[in-house]
Amino acid sequence: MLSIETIRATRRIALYTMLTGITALTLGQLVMIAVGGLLIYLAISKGYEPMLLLPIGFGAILCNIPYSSAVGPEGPFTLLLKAGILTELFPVLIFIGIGAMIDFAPLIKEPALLLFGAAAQFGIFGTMVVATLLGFPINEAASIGIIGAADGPTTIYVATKLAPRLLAPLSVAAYSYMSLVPIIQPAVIRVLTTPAERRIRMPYEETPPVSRTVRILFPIVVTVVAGIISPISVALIGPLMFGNLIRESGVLEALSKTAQKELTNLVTLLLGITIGTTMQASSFLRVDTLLVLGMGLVAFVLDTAGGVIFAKILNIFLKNKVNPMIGAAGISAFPMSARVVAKMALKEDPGNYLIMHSVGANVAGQIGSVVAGGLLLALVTQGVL
Amino acid sequence: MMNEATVSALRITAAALPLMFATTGVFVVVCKVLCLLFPTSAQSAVGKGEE
Repeated sequence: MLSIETIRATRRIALYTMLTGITALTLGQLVMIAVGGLLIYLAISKGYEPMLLLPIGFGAILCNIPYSSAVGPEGPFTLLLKAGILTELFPVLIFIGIGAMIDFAPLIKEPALLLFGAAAQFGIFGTMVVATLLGFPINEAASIGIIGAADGPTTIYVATKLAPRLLAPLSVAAYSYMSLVPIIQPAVIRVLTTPAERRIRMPYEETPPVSRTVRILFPIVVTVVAGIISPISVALIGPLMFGNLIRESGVLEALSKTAQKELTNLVTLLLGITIGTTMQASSFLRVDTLLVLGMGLVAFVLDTAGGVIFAKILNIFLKNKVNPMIGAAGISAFPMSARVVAKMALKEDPGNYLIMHSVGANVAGQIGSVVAGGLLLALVTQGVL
Repeated sequence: MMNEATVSALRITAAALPLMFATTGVFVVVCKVLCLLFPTSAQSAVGKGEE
């Protein structure tokens, strides 16, 4: 039997502990808990990238509870951060899954679409320049620019190498704006194109399907070529193409499905909540963090504009005009961007089916963003300039 | 007047954009060459794995 004194002492300790938690709670932590709640709300009610925003939101709550044992020197999520993100392991694993999901055939059939995948990376560089004008050093500005890749794993990979301090806001910005592609892109496209341009039809020629040999060789050759041009990009493009090789080999069906589903889901889950737990009030509620979030929007707008303007420039020289909206699909946000463009085309002209072209450009964006990320890393870290 | 970081950013942009398009151009050539070397019909002749 416990004595009355022991019970009283236990109660005092419990009360003291509770009061310590309450008195230690800062306004910043309350704000961040509310931000976490908002992210969870957006994920559940609005369906904005729920796979990422929900775990990120919950992670933000976890790390902003005073004296949270989830983070800190012995916290399990700090351990995950060190083991999975700072080592770049999680983004690399996700790339394998993404590679296994992508069908490059529409792009191989119409490789000129790759140019749109390159043009739509303009936002990365434009945003980087703007970020330096706002006072960010070059490594952080480059990391902010990479939000324009519209590619979560690439953003995380580059940020980890160049600006680990900004990892949380960069990830939140990348995934948040990706979920807002259906709102951001149509607005930019409408500003930059005329209704007549949006109605340009691009007939899809029925060509023979891509042979299995080509499908298998494509990821291998692209890895070798990209690796020779930019060795630092091998860690990004290698896993992407490895995943694709698993898919196209035709002999690893079970592995391909595992990479597409279980691997991607599991790593995304851990990635999201771990990033969320880096959103501590003391490091997140700062002016530069808010600037990063704002710059994310600039990056997406410039990306879309870059793709559209590039297509319009091409039209000056082309006999068979391209619909400039295809340029906007060159960003890496797959498949949202392709869908947005195809839908807009149908809205302008119910007989204008651009889906095959927009999917091709969107897949090109996947390659473009990885190449851009590799080049940016090479140019910033290797002291090329 | 532009700060040092902005100058670096502009230099990186000036170097990266041509490299981006050059790399992309190489990929375009790779796709074309692969499709020429291994057309669907040739694959069919081998008799397996055709889409």
